[in-house]
Amino acid sequence: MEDPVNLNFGESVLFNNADQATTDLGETNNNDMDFQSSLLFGGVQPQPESEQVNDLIEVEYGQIQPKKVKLFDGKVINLKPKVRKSINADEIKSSEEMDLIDMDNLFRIAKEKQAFKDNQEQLSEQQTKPKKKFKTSQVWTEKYRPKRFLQLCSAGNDRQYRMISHWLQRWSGVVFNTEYEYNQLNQHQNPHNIQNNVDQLGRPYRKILLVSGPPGIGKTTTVHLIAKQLGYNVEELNAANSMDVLPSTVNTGDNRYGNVNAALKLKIQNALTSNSIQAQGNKIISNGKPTCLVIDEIDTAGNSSDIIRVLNELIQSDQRALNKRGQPSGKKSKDNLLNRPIICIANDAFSTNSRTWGGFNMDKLRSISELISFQKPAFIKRSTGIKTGGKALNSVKEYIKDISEQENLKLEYNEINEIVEICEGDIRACINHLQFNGRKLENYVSSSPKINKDLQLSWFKLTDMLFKRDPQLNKEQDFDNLMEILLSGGGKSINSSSGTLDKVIRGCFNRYLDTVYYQDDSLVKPCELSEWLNFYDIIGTSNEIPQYSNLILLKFWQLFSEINPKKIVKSLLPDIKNIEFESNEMKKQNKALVKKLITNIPISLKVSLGGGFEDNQSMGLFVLPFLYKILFPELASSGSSNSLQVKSKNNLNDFDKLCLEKSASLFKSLQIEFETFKDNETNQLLLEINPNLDSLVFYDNDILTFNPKQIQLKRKWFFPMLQTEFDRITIQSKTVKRSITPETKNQSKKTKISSSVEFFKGQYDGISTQIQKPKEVDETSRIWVKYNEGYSNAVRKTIGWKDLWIS
Amino acid sequence: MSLWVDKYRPKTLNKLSFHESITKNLGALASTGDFPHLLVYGPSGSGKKTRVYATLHELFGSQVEKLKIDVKTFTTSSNRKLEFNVLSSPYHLEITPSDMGNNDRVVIQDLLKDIASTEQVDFTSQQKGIKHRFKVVIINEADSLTRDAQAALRRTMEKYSSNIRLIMISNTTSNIIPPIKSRTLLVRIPAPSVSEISQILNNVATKENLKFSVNEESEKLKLFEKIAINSSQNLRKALLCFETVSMQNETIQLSTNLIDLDWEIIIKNISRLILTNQSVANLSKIRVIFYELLAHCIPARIILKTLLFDLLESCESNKIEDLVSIGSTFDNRLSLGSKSIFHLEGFAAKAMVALS
Amino acid sequence: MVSEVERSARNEKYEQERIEHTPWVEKYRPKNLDDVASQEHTVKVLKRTLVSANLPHMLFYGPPGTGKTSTILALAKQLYGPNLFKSRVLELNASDERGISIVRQKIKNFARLTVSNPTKEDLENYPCPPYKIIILDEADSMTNDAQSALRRTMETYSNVTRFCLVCNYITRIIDPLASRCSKFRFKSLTNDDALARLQYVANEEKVEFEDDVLNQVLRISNGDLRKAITYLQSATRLQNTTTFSDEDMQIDDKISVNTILEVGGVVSESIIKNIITTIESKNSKKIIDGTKEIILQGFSAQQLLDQLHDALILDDARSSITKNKIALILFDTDRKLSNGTDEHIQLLNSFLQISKVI
Repeated sequence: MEDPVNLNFGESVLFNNADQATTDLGETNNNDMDFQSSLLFGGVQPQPESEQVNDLIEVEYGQIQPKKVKLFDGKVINLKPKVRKSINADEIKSSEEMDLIDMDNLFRIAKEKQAFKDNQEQLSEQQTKPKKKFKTSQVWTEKYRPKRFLQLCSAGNDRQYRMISHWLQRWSGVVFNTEYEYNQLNQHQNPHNIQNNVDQLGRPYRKILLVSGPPGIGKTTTVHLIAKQLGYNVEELNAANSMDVLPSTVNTGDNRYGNVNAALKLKIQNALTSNSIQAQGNKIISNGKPTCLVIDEIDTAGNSSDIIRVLNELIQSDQRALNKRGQPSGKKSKDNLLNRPIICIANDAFSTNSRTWGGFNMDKLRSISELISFQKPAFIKRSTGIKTGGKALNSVKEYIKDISEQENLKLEYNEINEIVEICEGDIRACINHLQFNGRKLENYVSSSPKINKDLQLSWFKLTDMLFKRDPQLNKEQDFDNLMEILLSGGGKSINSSSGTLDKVIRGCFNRYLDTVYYQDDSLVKPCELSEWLNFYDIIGTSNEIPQYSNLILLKFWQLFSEINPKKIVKSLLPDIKNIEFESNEMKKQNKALVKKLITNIPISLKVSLGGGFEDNQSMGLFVLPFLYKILFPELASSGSSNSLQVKSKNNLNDFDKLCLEKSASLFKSLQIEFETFKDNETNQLLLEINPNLDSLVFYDNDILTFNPKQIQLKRKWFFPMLQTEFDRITIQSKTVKRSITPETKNQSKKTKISSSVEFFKGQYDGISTQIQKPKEVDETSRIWVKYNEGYSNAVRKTIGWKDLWIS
Repeated sequence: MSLWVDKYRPKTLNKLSFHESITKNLGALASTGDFPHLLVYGPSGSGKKTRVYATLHELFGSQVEKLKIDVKTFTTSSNRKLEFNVLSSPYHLEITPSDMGNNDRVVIQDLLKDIASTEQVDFTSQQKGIKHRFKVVIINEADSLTRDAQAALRRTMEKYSSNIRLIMISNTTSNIIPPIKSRTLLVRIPAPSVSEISQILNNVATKENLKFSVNEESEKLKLFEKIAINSSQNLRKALLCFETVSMQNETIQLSTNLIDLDWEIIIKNISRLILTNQSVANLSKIRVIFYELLAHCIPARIILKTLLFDLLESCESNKIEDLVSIGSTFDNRLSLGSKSIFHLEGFAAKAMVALS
Repeated sequence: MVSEVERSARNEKYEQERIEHTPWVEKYRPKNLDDVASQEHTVKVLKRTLVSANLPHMLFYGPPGTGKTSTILALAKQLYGPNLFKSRVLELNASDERGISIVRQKIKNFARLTVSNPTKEDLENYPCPPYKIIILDEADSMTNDAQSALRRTMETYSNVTRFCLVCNYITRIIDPLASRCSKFRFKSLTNDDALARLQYVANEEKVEFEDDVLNQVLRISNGDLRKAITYLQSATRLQNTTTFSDEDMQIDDKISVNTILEVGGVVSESIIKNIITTIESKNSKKIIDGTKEIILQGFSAQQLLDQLHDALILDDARSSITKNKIALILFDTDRKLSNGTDEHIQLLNSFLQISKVI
């Protein structure tokens, strides 16, 4: 709740800042202006002229005193604090269309509007021709935050939006009431889906949704919107400051736990159950909407490990409660059941920043949650071959264009293009850029080719400039021009933001080979350039004389610029930008893999493999490639036949048996697990190992090719064999319990063993998405059903007759 | 069942197979129940760690093998939490400074102070009746310690010399400051010779009952020697390689192809590209390959080194000198700079010019 | 009371053990100025201050192991005696925190203290001048900020405190500080002085050695007496323990030249000779193989370069132009090595380059 005085005041400060370079010229006008303005507001004491800007701040809030405000053209006006009464109801209606009437928000908006309007009135009264209007003090990213689902900019993530909304919808059964559940299930969703992803309460199988993706593409916005749309009250736990008191939207007084340091768990549970009391009374109180807990920035939170631990406990207690419920004898205690959705948002679902005893936090979270990853619109995923590029980028551009129109920026389409390019598809960055640089860009377009010193150059433009010589100028002049840009003006701004120069240089680096190829195809220039790149690298790392690092750009120009650069039709390095990006990403990913694997290795082996722990070079160099080959031995007796016939250990000869046993024991000691993974694009089930060494071991280029199909084929018969081997070991030791599949206790071991072969057999037959017919009837008239086969979350569970008849 | 590297690792001094004199010296040191700070150096895969552990075994008995890993957290001055692993037994602990990044000075000092302040009481090993009033701290990759940390260590080593013994393990002493060198007993461990490696492989083969297509010892040794040379006398690599070979062939043929690592093959190919066709188009092809190698966690300097030696093998002898000098320049650049792709491409370009 | 006796006995034993473990360098630190080897001029000046009990701020500089720290410690001991020493002298080392904050707090606090009164006894035996001494060892590794913070402190409290900066390189001390101190240069020890000192230590410790050993020790330690004594101790230890464990074996318990070389991490002469012949053969294949062999032997490249330098540059048979060129190559390699580059490549490069000019 902002006080109106406060708001106005804040604004005046803003204005002051915008005009710090007030000249004496401006001051001289003050007298006159003061006089006028004091006329406007009765009872105003004119401020002495000599007073400094600083004094303004000292004006007391309580007294109704006008604020003296300097405008950016040096004029000074007085602002009068606004009183609440002045808000006009009509204005509210006309200004905003809202789905949900959020009174606080409305008031705030109304007040702001009023304030602006008044300001502008004053301005227009006093100034005959105002140069520019400051329409808003609001940051555009907030201003243009989509208010409705349909307003969301798709940015290539439509499918993800739908997935979130589907996931949330499944909760509605539990959250709103039970009757509704059945109705909805019967009407809207086919039973097929239910079987796959929903537990017996109609909730999604995985109770936590983990949304991941690069910053600025609207994860938080989307989640908030969808949750609101579906009638939830969003409770946000901002992981970065979750130690503080939560900004609560629920006025139930549940968040009274001052310093919640120790009560983090209580807090999460509170958030989750705050409305359950109301729901249990079987009547839904109108303003008490159910809560949807959103945990933002979970990967970077200082206490993320605590949060994740709490989440884990929640899930486990829920699982227990569910099992109890499944049993007819069990008490019907609903206490532990999770009945509110939890959504976590992270930038990097594979982050390995923080680690606790049991391994990496995010790994734990990933295993208990449904994963939805957003993608940057700009990048094309090479491995799948499916381009998310064009359409997604266009939608972002449309969105930006919309804003620019609303703000009257009059941006051309190609300028928008450039903005999006600069920000690499980060929508938030785009909007920020638009707000603060929009006008400068405008300047740039309108100004003559003569270089404006203040202009802000985008790295994109600059790269172009370096490769193209101005035909009207001779070489020296052009060089001087360029130097001027680089060493003063625009170049300086490039310099000051270290990222930009790097981008320019990378851009040039990615491009120069093509240019050389068409120019003379000699290696002299690349050699010369390598010296300069070295210069740039060294200067860049020394951090002392960065101003010289710009000079390398001149070298680029000198070596490669042409008056009429040929349009490069077929680049030598197709897609180089992506290759570079992917290489970096993959390196990071692989490093994390190595790290994870090393933490899992038994200690004695770790010592034997030598070196340090985390940064072990030899690991990636030769240990892992060899290890991989040992893990997946070529079983000679199986031959090259990759037929899908079920192979069992008995068919193998002695040597292969030995290999198999060794491989299995290694799998166990390194804690490598199997996972089935569903490829979203091709809809195929892939067999993977976790941690997934594939990306570390296999290369894919002209020299060595990597054939995923063959590997998959091999795994299809190899994994089951390993599985049986595991089971054998398990029986022998009788202590190891597999962690992935939470076994219910009433399952006898016998059934498990006898069916584990069938289990995998079933997998090749019909891949898993179909329901199996009930197989055998137990004497206690319970039915065993293969459930969710082929997924790593496969679990067998009891289903009553009732459940079957309903569908 | 474990990997052979682990399975056939000697645990005690008398089982160590090569470098007799060093082993004897270490044993002699251990038998007095005390030793000075040690700096153990030598190429990788020459058995530095194994020797150190065997010495500790001699000193403290089998208790040293009861290893566990602790994750210690350390809050830096900038209030950032730093986590690193400490491998420890009741008698020693082992740290790797590269885990700690630039804070290694503070971390190590803190850690050592911590250990030093808790004096080891009544560490009476029953059989020998020798008291060990000290705890051993092993510092891995000591050459990656920052200068700062090393400078701090020199004083610390003296200050806590009554209850801490440092054993530093590194590949080279070039990056270790002279004051440290002068305060430690230097133990150089050369790489095992080809025949020593093949002897070890032979032992393993007999113990594992491996089948060979030939029976004569001398013939087998030829194969082992091939492995030893192929793994550039790195015992660890040789053992892994041998194990892989044995997993893939039931009876090991003498002519069995040794397993070439994928990245080595790829770098060989790059060298072929450079040798055969020096053109811009080729350079661009090579760049893509470089990117892929980097993505697979192959360090840029290893790429450069392997590429250089591959080139040396097959180029004319009058070019050797130029190539090496280019290589040394770019190796220097790689270790100073941070943008490895620039330098790798620069090397490829210059090598092409030198060869054409 | 028995336990009391026992404990004291144990303490005594412990103390004894501790002494055994103290490095000889500490054990044989000169106790008074007369013991300090080789630095006649400095000692003469400082002795005068003993009489007059007036001391300027001092700056000791010179190569390592020439007795800088020993001198100031000895001087302080002679000035104050053992009792007063603790309260009057503050010794700070590079490994102690020495950022600007320490200068501001610890040093300033100590400097500011008024001097404690010496006991009568001390007064009779020692000069006990009315000021404290702060010894800043390894002062060249202090940051410039810390050094400038020291300027003011030195002046303000000069009535009660004297500073003594000890460093290897005077160029790393900022000028304002250097100008406030009277400078003493410590030159490298002459061979005779060092030898005499080494002989003395060896006699005290009853070390037996082969004839040439002491000279060898001095040679590899380059006039650094501390290094020399440390080497001697390490070698003794290695030698002693070996005889201890293998009683039946025929080992003469004298320290041999080889042991010293191994302890010093020095590459043996024969290997160096081998390298030089390989280089002189000018056969690049041979050089490549030779380099590989050396690398596998695990020798330190920097050490190797040092010795190669001595062997090549001190060889009078070569013309001075060649020597010039070689020195340049060696310098370049050394520079690259200290950047942390790959030893194999750099050694190979330098060998090939040398083979070209030789």
